[in-house]
Amino acid sequence: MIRFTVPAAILCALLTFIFVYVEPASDAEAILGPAALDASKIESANDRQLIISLVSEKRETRNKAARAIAGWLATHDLVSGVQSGPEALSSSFMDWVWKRRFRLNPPVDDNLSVESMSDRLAQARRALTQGSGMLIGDRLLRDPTGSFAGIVDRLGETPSGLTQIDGVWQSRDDTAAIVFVTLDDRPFETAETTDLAQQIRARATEFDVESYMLGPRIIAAEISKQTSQAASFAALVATVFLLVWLAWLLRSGRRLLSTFLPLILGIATATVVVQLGFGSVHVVALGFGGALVGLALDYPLHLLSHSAENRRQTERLVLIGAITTAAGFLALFGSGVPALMQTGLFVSTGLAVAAISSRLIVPRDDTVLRAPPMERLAWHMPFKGWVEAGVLIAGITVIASAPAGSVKTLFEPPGHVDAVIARFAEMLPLPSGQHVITVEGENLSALLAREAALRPILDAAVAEGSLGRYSMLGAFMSPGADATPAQRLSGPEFNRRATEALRENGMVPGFAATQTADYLAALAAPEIGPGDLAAFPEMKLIAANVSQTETGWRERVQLFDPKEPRKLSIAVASAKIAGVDMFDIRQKIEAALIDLRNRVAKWLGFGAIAAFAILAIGLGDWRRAVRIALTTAAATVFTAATLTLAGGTLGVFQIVALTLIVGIGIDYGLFLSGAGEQDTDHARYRSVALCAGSTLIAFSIMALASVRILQEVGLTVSLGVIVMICFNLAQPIRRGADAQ
Amino acid sequence: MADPVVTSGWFEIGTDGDLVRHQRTPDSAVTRIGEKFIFVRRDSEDGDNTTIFPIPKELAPLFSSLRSIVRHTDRKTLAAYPHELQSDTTGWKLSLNTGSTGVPDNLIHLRGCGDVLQSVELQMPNGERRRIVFAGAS
Repeated sequence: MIRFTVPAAILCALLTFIFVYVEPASDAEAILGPAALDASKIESANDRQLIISLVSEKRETRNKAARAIAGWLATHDLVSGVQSGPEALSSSFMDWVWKRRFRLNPPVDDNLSVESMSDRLAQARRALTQGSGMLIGDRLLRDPTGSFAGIVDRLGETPSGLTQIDGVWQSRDDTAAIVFVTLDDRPFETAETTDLAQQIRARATEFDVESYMLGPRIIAAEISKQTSQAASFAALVATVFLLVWLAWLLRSGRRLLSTFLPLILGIATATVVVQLGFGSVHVVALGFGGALVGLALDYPLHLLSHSAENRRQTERLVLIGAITTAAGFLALFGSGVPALMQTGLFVSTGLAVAAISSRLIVPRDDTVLRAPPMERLAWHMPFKGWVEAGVLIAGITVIASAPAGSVKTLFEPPGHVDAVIARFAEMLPLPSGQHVITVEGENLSALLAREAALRPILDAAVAEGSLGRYSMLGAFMSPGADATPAQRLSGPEFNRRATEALRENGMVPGFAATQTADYLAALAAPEIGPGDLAAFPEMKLIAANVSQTETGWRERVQLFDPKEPRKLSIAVASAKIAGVDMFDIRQKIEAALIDLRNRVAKWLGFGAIAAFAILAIGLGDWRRAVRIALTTAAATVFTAATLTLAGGTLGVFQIVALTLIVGIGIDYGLFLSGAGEQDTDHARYRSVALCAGSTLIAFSIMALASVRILQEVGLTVSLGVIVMICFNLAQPIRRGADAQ
Repeated sequence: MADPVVTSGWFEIGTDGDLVRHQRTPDSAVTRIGEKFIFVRRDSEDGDNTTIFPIPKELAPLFSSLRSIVRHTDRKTLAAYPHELQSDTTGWKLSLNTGSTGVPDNLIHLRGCGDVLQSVELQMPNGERRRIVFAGAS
């Protein structure tokens, strides 16, 4: 009884720790590792944006829904800003703009000529007769340089160039009302984001409109939810099938418990160790932790399948297998990728604990278990070693000659996301998700100065039609009066020119004194600092893509409809503006993934060498170690080559899954190659048949899941197990020759 | 400071209750003043050119008052503000305080003589004054 009560008590303690302290993490940077630096540079500030489209043929219906949903969202905890239409600029913001107009939009020499000021005054007088004149007041008259008028024009530009009806933004195909939402600046949580999306959908349904949502966090939440649901369902189905399969084989609750307990102990201990080591447990580590089923379940099955008489030898082989595979996975530490380092630690710890606890928990039992008579499938392979070496070389050739560019993304959004993006593209101009320009500066002034240098290039691209439009802080704000070429007119000189401009318009010349005082005050206004960007909601919107970094300031310039990105990229590069780079995000991510894959493959290669060394030392028989290693390598490479031929270059998760295959191969090899040193052929084959059956049940169900990552891992391991069995069943001598 | 810019046109209440200002000169334009937005429609070579302006909250009471006056029926809006009525031989002046409690933030001055409204003036806390003088009034 103590065999179960002590492990159960330890398990309870571990589970308590897990429920209280363990924090699952899902950040992308932990997956891409050092190669993500560039990716994070371009994936910065705007991940909290969300666009909602409310579709209805009836404008009144959709506008009503948009106003109601925007009003409700404005008070929602998860939302920091919402806009369903143009909003009035606050008087405090307009006062700030007025005082700092020369910092925001400094006049150039032409604006200070008498002729220009006279024209501006005429325009200002006419503006007063219009409905909008009452809103702007007398400031257009008091600033004959046109600086303030220019800012007012910029502020009047609608987001994404949308039109509005009854104060609500409308899609350009006139089918939907559009609501722009900025989510609160807090860590991303799948559950609360999913909940928010469901609430929005429910509200839209109440108003009888169809709703679509687009935003990085919404898509991330959908991916997480879909993956989590598919994984949970696959785990549930696999557990049921495994329980039925093992209950039928083991015919005893005690044996069943002793089979599952080491696995659960291994997973729980690994979770706690990773949490203590890294401060959190990444979902990738947890996901591959589930893959422990493929090996950790084997250890008790080996012990139960072999006779009590050979228990010691079986335990030794189990331990060698566990340590060998753990060494292979520990090599993931060398990848430098936090999520994969966690995976390495997780699997290694889990296997070690499962192997040791199996030894303690599994009872010595001579009951003959039911098992498929796998030994009947053993077959003769002449020149086995040479054939395996040939398969190895041919497989490596196939893998190496796969096209390098066909890199798979780590996670795939649900199928309908592409349709939603396409629908949104019909409704409103979306910033390019592929081409962006980043501008960096050690301070805000440096950032704005570099954007001022970039601006003529972008304006030229817009003018020649190779770029739809662009959005950046530097389009609204200039680097400061000191950095502009405008001459600083003295007070008396400005007064003289203003007086003349007033006379030309038939206005009282004495008003020039007021204009001059305002001009001098604007010249003396303080520089715009970081605090100004956060002082007004209006500025927060304008500076939405600006972020502070460890080394200074950065803005991701949004490009709308770049028709000739290569040409623009060359123009930006030719300008050689320090801190300004144009990126093709897709290429960057592909390069990061290729780098990641190569590093993982390289370190797993080192791990395989270490595993072989441990195997040879553990067995004390290097010839046998070479035989096992060659068979395992040939089967693994054959699997990898088959997958490459069928689906292109292997992804990172498939490569990690292949490491599991290596572990499984060593495990099978240890038991099937040990003729004469332990039980009968029947016991050895029975043992491997039980393990392979269990692994195939778990991973073939995973291969049927609806999510690509699960399909790939499931298919890789399932195929790998079958190939491994085939190679291990191949005997260099005729079947029965070593039978006892 | 100069010859005033004179416009001509008329106000009316639209079917949806909005205040509509029709301007004939110097430019032809129709301004619809709603609860939250001002819609300006001008004739242009490209056809109708409608611009929308959100009404800042500081100016909302002014337009609300103007709408109440033109409607004749919506006097509750005016009565809701603290007010002061002065009159002399030149006419009357009704001052409404539309600012927050007790602080004269925004003052709206309505001036007239007899039953003729002559001007509407907004006095902002920053010292700005915006005044509409109606045609025919002095």
